[in-house]
Amino acid sequence: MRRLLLALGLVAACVALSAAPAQACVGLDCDEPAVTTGPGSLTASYLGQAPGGAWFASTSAPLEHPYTYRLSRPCVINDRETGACQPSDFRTCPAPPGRVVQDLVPEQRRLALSGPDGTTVTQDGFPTGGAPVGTPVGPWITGNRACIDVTALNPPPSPDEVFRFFQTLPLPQLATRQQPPGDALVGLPVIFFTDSPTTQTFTVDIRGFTVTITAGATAFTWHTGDGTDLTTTDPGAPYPDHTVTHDYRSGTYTASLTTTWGATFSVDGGASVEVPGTTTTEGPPVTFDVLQARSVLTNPFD
Amino acid sequence: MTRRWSTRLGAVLLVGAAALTGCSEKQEASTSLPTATAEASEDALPPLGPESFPVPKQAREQTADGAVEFVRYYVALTGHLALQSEDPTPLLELSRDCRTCGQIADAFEADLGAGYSYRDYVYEFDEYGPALVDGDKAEMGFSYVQGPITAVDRSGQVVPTRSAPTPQELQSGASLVWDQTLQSWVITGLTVG
Repeated sequence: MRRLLLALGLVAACVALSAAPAQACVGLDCDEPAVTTGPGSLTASYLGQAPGGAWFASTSAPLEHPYTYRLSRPCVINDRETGACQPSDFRTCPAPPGRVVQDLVPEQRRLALSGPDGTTVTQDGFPTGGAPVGTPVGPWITGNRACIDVTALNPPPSPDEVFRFFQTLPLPQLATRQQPPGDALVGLPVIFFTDSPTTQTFTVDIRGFTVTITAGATAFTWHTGDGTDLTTTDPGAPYPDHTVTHDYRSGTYTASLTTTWGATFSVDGGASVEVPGTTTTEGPPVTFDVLQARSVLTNPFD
Repeated sequence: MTRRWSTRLGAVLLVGAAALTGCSEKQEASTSLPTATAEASEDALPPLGPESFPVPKQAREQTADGAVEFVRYYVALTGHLALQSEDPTPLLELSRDCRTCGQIADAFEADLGAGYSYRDYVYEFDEYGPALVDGDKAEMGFSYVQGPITAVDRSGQVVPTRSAPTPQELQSGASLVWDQTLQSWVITGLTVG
């Protein structure tokens, strides 16, 4: 609040983006929770209910609307004592395609309205102290948590929204490499690895925000083809640094690799935030024979 | 009926506290004994707040004026704790789920940990009027002019990030709830600016 101008008019809502949501105080003057991709607050000029009862926030309000609004993630409200978000703070709200609906706690604050003889008043008689028209007066009053359509406020993409986007990205399909190349031998473990890139960066546009998503492989599941799955956190390596091996009986096998991808993202060059979920890709299969070797005595001088 | 409350130094605050709690006019000797009920009523109001700066009686009345007095006291308490470098826990004990109160207490606690103290803590408090009371809840508005505030480190050097050299007016407000156990208002929300 320290940096806010006092003489606020009845202004349209604004959304700021901050990478460092520090909330320090000098005296009683504390910074507002900044609007980020995670915890933060949005401001709105209007909060209403559609005929079906759904809540929506808007940047435009009727002339001399008596309140201004602040919409916060529940953890911003609830972290007063714990200082941390709880799992229950992240409730997913159903959203129609193209709409941004978030689980938020609304707060409203009275605005000074024009009164008789050049004075200012509030809707419910709360004194304004002579504050100019449009000035927020009194305390923020907390309302009930609800799913609120904030599309009109164009908030930064939330982690959930980025996750939905992340699931559609063309992530690499890592190819399985095996040693020895070609046919393998019974009794000689087959080495698996992949030499495909295990990180990839995407820059995408989400509702006008430049979102950089850095995907990284977090787990590798090697389907050996004989019913065995081997899961590792590294991509393996060729001989002699191999880490993933499997012993086969003789036969023909088709092996493949499922890669689990996690990611971090940043909005408009801001702080890096973890994407709340993973996705997988299936690599192309490889088929090889495993042969039974037979010992044969030979004369090296023949 | 706006009253102005300002503070310049810790000493002023301490004198102010004494004025709130200790002054009385000369009274004639009573010809009747106080009733047991009256005595019990007096005793039923245990001290509240830090010993060095208790909540005044006026701030413990469940009235519109009492709510204003409590906010006035709470704001003064922040100045007292800052100037005396005291533990900010009373700010939490006299509030309920108040985010800003927690932030203020955290900042003061960090100051203590860093060895910072306050040389100046000047403010003005002007209430807009009596609080709006609805049952056990109340809301009030006030103009708060803060500054100069000067924090210094152990060597006496000013800490700019913890100081506010220029007075700044902040349209402010507070919401309160009456705590039956404490027999006092407590702050549930503090909006400054």
